Amino acid sequence: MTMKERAELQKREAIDLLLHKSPQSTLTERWFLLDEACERFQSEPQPMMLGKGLRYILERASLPVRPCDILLGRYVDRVPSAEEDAEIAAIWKRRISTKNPITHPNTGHLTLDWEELVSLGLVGYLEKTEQKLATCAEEDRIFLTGMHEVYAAILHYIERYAEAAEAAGLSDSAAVCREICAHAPNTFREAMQLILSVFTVYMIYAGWHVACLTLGRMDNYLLRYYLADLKSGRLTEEEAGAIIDDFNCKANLHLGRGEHQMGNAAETGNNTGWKRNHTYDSPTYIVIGGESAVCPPAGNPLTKLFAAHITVGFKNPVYIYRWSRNQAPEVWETVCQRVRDNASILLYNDTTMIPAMEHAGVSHADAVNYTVHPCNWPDIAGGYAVTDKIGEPMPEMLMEAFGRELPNLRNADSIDAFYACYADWYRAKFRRHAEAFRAAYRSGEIPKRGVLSLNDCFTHGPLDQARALTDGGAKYLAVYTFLRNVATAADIMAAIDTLVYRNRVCTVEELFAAADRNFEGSPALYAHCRKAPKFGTENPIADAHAVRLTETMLDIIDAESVNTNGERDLLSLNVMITDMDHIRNGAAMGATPDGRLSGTPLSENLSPSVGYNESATALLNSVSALPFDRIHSGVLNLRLRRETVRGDAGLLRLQALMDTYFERGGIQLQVSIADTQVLREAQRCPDCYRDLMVRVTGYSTLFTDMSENGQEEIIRRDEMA
Amino acid sequence: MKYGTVFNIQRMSIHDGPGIRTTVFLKGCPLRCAWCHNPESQRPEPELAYHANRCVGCGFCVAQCPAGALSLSAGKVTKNDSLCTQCNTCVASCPYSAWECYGERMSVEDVVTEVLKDKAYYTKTGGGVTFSGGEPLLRADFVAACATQLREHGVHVAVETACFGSETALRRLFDAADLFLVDLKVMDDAAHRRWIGSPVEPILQNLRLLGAWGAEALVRIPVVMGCNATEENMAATADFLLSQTPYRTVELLKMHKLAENKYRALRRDWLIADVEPPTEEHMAELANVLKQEGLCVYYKGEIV
Repeated sequence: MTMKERAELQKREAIDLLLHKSPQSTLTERWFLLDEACERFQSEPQPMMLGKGLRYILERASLPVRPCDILLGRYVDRVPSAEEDAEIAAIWKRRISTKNPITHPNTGHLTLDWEELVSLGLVGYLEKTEQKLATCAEEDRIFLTGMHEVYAAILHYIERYAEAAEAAGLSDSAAVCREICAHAPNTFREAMQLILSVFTVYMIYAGWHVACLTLGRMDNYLLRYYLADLKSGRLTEEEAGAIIDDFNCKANLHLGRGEHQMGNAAETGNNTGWKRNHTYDSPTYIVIGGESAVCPPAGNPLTKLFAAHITVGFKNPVYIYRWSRNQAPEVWETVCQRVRDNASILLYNDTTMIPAMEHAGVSHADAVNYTVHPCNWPDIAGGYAVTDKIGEPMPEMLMEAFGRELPNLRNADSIDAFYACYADWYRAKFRRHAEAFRAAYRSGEIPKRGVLSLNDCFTHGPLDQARALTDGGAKYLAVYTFLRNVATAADIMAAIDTLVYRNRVCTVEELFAAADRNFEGSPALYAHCRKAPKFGTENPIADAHAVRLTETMLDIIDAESVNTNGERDLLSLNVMITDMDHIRNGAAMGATPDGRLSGTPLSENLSPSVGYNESATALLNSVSALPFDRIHSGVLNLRLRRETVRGDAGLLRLQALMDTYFERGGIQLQVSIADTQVLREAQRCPDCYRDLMVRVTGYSTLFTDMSENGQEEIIRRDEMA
Repeated sequence: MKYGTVFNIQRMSIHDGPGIRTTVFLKGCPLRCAWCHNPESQRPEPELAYHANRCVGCGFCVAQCPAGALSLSAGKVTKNDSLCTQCNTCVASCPYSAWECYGERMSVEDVVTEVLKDKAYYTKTGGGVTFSGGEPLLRADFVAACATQLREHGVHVAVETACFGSETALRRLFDAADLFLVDLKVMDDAAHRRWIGSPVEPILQNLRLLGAWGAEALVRIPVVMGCNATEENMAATADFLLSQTPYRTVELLKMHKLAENKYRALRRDWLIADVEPPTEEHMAELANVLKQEGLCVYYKGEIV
């Protein structure tokens, strides 16, 4: 078989396997090996537990090989028996909830320094560790030895895989594995194999149960291998494409059935009815396109190749395409086609993201080279250590601030008083966090806790400093500042402004009292509240409030991020994402002056409040007016009807929507092509729509795998013409 | 005429001309097509509609109505038309939008401002604005005034018309628009009078005129069983277009039943409530007749 034939066969298998895999299927083998490893090495210090434990697990891990494999990195999963299931549940309780020292530190949610990995190779890491060990302080020895064990364990796993492949008759794959055990990768295929090996070990055997990983800018850091291979004739474009296909297949299989946000807990309202797969329900991100110091975006042939090989029908990996003004039109058209075909793609806008990162205090070089944090904000390979998360949902903060000051606001003569009230309240809140941050990190000395994770082994910094990323090994200390549920928040301000001051329909007191009563006994006011201007409809009043409210908060964040010497010493990543928390947070909140009733969802990500979508263009125009050059995350979910994007004219329409959004300063976009009618039919007959993919919040899932609550959320996101 | 009565401005419209468009729906139509999908467009004046499916029966509008025209029974509201003064208090007072007023008086500037919001999308897709109805010919001055300003902004202008109007009005729109989307329903005059309430000849004459003036036009045929869904009608349509106009492209539009709720809300009978839409096979057969006659046929946005 040619490489292309092998890849095509795998693609078919990968889609089929995922669709027909039982949701109860799990990594039975891993659970028992992990439990044994914990038992066996429990007396060791944590770094050694991780290192030796990982070796124990990897020495015994199954090494499946399929005749169509190009790269090696599969695992065995199956539906456990009833007894095994009970035992796994006990292990889960024992080994996860008690902060298991082998898997718990490996929380993922970052971009490993894949560039350094392919440049040094595991052998290079081993040598570097040995050099450090020869001269290190005694207190650092255990940490570094643990690292050494980790590298050696993964090397041994790859060696074992080479033997398994040889035995299965895949000599070429075996040879590639042997090469990367002997030296740093020299070819595109070797580099891809090394990435897959580390990725597989992390996700399948060592990761905490929701450890998402970003594989970084593969089209950038692999470019030199690809070009060298082409030049020497070692590889053709078609073969490189087959390798990418193979890699995508493995990533698709690594993600199990189930839905990332949908836990077991009935109280979340998101219960899918089956146990989550514990270890492998977390998406993987590959970043392509965008501005780069390595190669101008329009001239990178590997961006083009990756884009062409984004596989429709896979829910993983999620491809992040960085939209930029300098992109190659033909690559962008390919990406648009894949978006139209409902592939797993999320779009980021370089023209706002890079300035936003620089504004926060990230260096220009790091800002240009941003990747993606799996929770959907820009990341830097090994870049951030998060020290704090600041902020509740904006509507909740508004209502708290106004609730406290209502006696004074009663006599306010304009909406300005409400802004001043909220600004004072928010400033005090943010300042408390900023001061706590400075108190904790003023000396610049962060104590070493001596806890090792796989993140430390594969990011720049920890090995050189013999200290964990979270102990100061990261390049930037950051806080995440939430500006969530912007539409509901803007609608609250628009309702107060319109009803109290512009139209003089009611007093402040009457409005808040009616909301307190969940509008019971106030049908007239309720009608006015519901009909007050709403964000997302390109209503000038509501849109202006969204901008003013956001800028009010951003100005405070900016001012409070500067210390008394006038230096910016706090890096705040300002994020507008809600994930699916808007449902949970809304359930806990009373009614609001915009006419939102008690317990109902807040607005989702950057979407309008429920029921107030008017048209895709109005929504895009409204949202893109927000000051995204100071905001780092905020996905806009756009659900379009299939008819809208059908054919060449449809593709042109889709491209125009996305281009215009980004040109106007929009930030992130994810598109689902799904008609409401089809989604309803899928609810009635899940089996007929097994492959119906929708985007949730930065990742994709099969619609029929979602809980009823989640499905209704997708349907609530009104379809646009 | 500086003002027009508009009952809807639909952005991101994809069915009324090329590219992404904004469709401006004007009130007032001289025809009464039995299947009309926009019954709220027919009368020229604003109209009050009651959406019973949205009504929760709270009775608040009944209490608020200054004319005492509303009453509540069995959880739903009924209106006494002889008492209603069209003050729209019910519209403003209903939290659930059960009462809706179709038709808003808008100035040329209002319309132009609204349409220009999506100019970037028109530019990228070859889209623009489409004036629809109702019948734009009835409001030719208003449409022409809007169109002239929009064209100055580089916006492509289409007019969707049944071509039932005066030559003067048609000429006015010909001077102001880039494209005509012309409904040609049924060729037989008796059938036309029965189903549409008017003779067909004035429409045919206007189509001849558009052709003679060199207007760009796409002829569209709404296909309704019992009225025009016959091979004979398609052949006659093709014969007319080929022999008397320069137009060689037609689009078939399959009748749908989505307007049923609007008829209910307006308390009007939908005359063809029991007529089923044609099957896909039947649509294909009709398309085939037109093709065989030598026309280029579009259906569902694609060439058949």
